Amino acid sequence: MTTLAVVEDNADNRLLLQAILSGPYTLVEYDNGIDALAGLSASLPELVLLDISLPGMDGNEILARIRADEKLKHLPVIALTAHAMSGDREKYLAAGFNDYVTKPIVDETVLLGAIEKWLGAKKGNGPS
Amino acid sequence: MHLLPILRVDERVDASTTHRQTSDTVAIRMNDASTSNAPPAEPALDPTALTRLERFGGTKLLVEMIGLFQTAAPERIAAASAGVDSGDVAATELALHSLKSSSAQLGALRLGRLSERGEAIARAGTLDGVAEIVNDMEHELIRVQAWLTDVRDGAST
Repeated sequence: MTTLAVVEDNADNRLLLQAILSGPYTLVEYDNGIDALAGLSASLPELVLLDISLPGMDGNEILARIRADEKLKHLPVIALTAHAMSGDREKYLAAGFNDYVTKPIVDETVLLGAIEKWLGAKKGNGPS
Repeated sequence: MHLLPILRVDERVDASTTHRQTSDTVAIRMNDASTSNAPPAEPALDPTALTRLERFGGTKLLVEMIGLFQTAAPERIAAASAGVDSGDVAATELALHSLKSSSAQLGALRLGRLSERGEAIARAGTLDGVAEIVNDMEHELIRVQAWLTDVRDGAST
């Protein structure tokens, strides 16, 4: 089964993601950046869902370290964030995230669509 | 458990308010019947958020999400308050950001809006006025906790 990594400090958001995604995917959860980077290197997932506002190392720094790591740099990384001001989407895509999905999750098909798009791209089908 | 019990519960939470129900939201206006020229109040609570959680994961998810929120929300407000007291802008912003997302996910719209307002101020690098917002949040949390407790108890029976 396809494995996704979730980097999210809030337990309620992790629980919600489990409910939505645990049918088609296996989730590996991390609640901080240090553990996430170590875990990603030890066991490479197919895709990463990455919160931005995290205590300590934030999502932007985690992404920068992923992109600087030879083993991790090609991972699709989707920003999953409550930062939803005008211009935020463009800002995070410019920073190197593959996609951007906002919280709260109202329409789960948006999240599922983004995941499928980038898993497809990874398999060489190209993002639709 | 479906939408109707949630609406009934919400009416019981604050009998001193006037209510304007639509198919999507419950607007609660604080004793403003005599101020008909005032713009309509924005809804404080959104029961559709709870039915959405049920759709995502059934009653089990709904009850677990409520439980996590009821534990975490007071902690986040306390963290924001401590951040204001100590002048820690980053800690205040993080606490309010977390609460903004969780509140919106559970339909606590007014609490979410207050969190967003405080977060925006902190994000701009100041804490001016955030203490008052956090104080409002403490009061709003009482309403939200009562609403969610009734929903949770109704869902568990």
